[in-house]
Amino acid sequence: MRAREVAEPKSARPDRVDSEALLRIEPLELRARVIVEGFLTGLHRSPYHGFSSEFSEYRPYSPGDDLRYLDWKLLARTDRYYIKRFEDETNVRCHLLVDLSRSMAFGSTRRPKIEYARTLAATLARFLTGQRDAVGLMTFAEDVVELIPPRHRPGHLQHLLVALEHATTGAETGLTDALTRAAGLVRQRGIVVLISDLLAPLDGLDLAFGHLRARGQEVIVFRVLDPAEVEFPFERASLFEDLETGKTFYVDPATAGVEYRARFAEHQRGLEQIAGDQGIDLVQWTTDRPLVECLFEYVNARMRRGRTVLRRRSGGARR
Amino acid sequence: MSLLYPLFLAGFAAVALPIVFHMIRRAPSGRTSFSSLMFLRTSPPRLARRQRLDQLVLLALRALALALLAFAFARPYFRVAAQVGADAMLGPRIALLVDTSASMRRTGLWSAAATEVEAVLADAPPDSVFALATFDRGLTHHVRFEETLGLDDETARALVRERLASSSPSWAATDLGGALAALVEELEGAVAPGRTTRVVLVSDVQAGSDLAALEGYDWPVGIELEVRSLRAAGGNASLHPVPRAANRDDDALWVRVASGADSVTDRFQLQWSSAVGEAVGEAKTIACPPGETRVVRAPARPLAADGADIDRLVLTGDANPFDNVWLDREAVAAPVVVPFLVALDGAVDSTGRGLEFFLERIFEGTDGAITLAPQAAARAPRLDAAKNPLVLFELAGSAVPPYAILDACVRHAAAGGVVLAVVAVGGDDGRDDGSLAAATRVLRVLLAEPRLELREAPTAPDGFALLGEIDFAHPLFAPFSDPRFSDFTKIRFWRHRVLELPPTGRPESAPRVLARFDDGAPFLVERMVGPGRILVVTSGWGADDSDFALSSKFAPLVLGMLRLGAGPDLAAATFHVGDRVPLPPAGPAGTRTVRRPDGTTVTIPPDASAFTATESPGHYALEDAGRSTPFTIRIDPRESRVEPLDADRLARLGVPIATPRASDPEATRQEQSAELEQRQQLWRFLIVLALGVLMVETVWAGRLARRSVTPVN
Repeated sequence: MRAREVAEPKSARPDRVDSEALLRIEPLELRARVIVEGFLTGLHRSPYHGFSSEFSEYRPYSPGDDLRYLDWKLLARTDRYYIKRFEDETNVRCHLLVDLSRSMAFGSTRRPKIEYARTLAATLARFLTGQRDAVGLMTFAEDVVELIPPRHRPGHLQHLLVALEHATTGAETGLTDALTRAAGLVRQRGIVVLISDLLAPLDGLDLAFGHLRARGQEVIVFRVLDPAEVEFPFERASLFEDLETGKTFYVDPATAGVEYRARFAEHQRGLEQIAGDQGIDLVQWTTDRPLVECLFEYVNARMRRGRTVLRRRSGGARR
Repeated sequence: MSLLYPLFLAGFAAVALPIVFHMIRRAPSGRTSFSSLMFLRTSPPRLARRQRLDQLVLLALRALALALLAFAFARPYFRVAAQVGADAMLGPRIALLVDTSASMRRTGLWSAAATEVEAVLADAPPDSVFALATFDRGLTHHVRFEETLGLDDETARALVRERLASSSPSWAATDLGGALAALVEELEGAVAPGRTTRVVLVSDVQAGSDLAALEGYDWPVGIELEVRSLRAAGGNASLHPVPRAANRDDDALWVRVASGADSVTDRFQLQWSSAVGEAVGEAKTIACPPGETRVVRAPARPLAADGADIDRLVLTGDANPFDNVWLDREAVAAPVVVPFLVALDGAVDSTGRGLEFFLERIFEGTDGAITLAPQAAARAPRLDAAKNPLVLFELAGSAVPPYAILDACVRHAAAGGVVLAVVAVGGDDGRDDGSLAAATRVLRVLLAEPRLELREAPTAPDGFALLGEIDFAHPLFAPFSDPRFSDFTKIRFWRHRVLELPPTGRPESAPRVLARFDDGAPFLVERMVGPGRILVVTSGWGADDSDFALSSKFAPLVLGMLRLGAGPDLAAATFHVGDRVPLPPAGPAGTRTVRRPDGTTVTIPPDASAFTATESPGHYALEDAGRSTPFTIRIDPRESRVEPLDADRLARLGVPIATPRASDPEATRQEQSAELEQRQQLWRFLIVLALGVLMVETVWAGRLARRSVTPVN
């Protein structure tokens, strides 16, 4: 699977919500609601509800199954024992893993990456809550900052949103640890959504993703980057300070820029390699793009891929 | 070329500053926060174009301006020209001014002065011209510049030494200001081209010096004062009487003993002594620590045993006895009697409102020192100018007094007394009872004006007359000349007489009008008779004539007349060494002599009005026709203030004080350099040059700026 960068917005689709205006909405809950409503409006023709788990209807009853899930109507109509697995399995348990390390506070545009990440996480949480899915949240920096297990109950969303409002912290990004910890937590199938800039060494990342995948989790990685991190547009030589470690040294962009871009691209390739190996969706966004648009494109792409997968699966079944 | 302040050349280092400032920008000043430095590596920045030195012309101009400024501050000058000027100069004029005041009598001071003069002579450069003057209250020249001008160096110095050896300290006070001003004025008048002039003051520069003459004195340019102060050893204590306090009823003599701050002892003795220096009576010990004063009661004056005059109180115990004697002679106050000649048939003053009543009120307050002696003007009184300085003569009756009385009055005036004739004629109703005619005849004799007329003045429209014209220059009215006291308009005269004095061809001996009424009639007329005078007032001070006696002017005027007759009171007056002692007019004998303390006598010329040979302290006596008037000459108390004058007091008065000439050749060279640099003033040229360079720099920079903003396609 190839990680796709969200390309230019399609001119046919008007930008429904102005990104800048959206990010200016201070309450995260309100901001998420605006996005989700616009999002649903855009999706209303879609027969599928976003990135839900695979659809499964009935399975034949086998001794030991809980009789509460037996479809009594079907039994009465057809006299066959079927378990309604649909309800049980389509209520996805989604874990949102949000990076709150200090590097997320960087922003060469008006808003830092963390704003973008929070908004995205809040949008997903609200959207999934609206679908009656259970959403959990793990925020992490060099270590896990806060952990909220996935639930679906009134007021849970508020807890998530409050936890998202925590300030950035930490001297480094403990990405691998966070993923390993998350792998230990999840017991049921579900989705793990990682929102981070992934500006951390790649050592051990492969293994961490592998753990999650082994636990039956679908992993989606939203990589939020600042345009300056991609292009390194600096011109003046100056003292560069690492936001996480506080380390400083003189950098002359004229000489260091080329090397930066090369090493960044190398890191990116390594990341894509891991994503491809582990079957992970890696979506990379820069904060100069409107969030809604990026989200929409991702969903569209996923839907197309889902159909493809379904077709392949059905085709395969035929084979 | 040499530099006066080469240290300022360090300013050349400032040239490096623009370059350093330029280079210092190599280090990036900005600070950029970045999310992660994991893809970055430290990179040495490249040398940007702006950090290279361009605009070399601008840099050179600025550096040149800085260098010129630094060079200007170093004050360069050309030594060659300087040497020529110095060689062409002649030796200086050195005026030695040596203090010979009484304080120079202190132990060792005079020899120290001679040593200092010797040092000045030795330090003087060759071809110097010397003058020598000494001063106490006045300036005395001993050697003038003209005398040493043609002499060779050694002879000139020998002359100064010789003349100095012949002088010695006097007893007089120190008029330092007057001496300096007088000397400098003379020096300024006699210019000497090519020579510098310097006054060298050799003195103890005591705090008691009189510097009043220098206040406001414009010290001439080019004359410097070099002060060589002398210090005496051992400290000094002084003895001066305390003015008798009004509330102290005893007759004891109280004295103030002041011990100098540098005194070595705090025990002194007070003892009376005779004129020959023989201590009499018991000594009184006084404890007075250094720097303090004690006011003590002097021991009682012992009775003279063998006729020796015990006339001085002596303080012993300090190292410098020059001011330790207080000359004190027992005052013998002769009572003064004022004869009051009353007209034979004049009305008896029974009302308490006549002339006599008010006069008695005045003399009452003198404790019997002055008494009024009324007597009928029937026969010639026995008058003595010493005992009766004032004679009052009331012209009231219609009878003419005997000529002998008038003659006695005139002779009394000729002997130095004062005769006051009061015209108080006429009855209450103003009718003529013949007294006017009688008074006219008396006045014609007294004023020696046979043609004068006297008449009753008409009553003024408002009922009274005021004094309108007063001669405040006259000694009688001089005390009232101050505007605060010169208001005589509160005195009202109900009645007065008009005295008509015919014009005379001899104005110098004619009667003089000292005060007039507002209608122009004379009020007070004076006729000088020899040393004495005859005064006439045309209105009395009785209640019938005026309220003059109630005025605050009355008593001072009458006592003033008394003083005019008594002449100067030599015994009570305070005279210091060098003072001019005013003498009373000579008696008929015309031979006056002054007996000095050492017993010698000085004959006073008949026309002399003062005695000036008061060179030493002591008891003097004026002998005039068998009458002896003692007076005492004392040392000026300011001489006792021997502590040094404030160091900068002379400088504050505008006197340019020179430091003693250093024999250090390096200092001399530095001084010459400074002088020559001052003359050449090359630094001005350098500053102008620097300004010019800066202007060029400005123009250049402006051109560059215009070029850089020109749009480039």
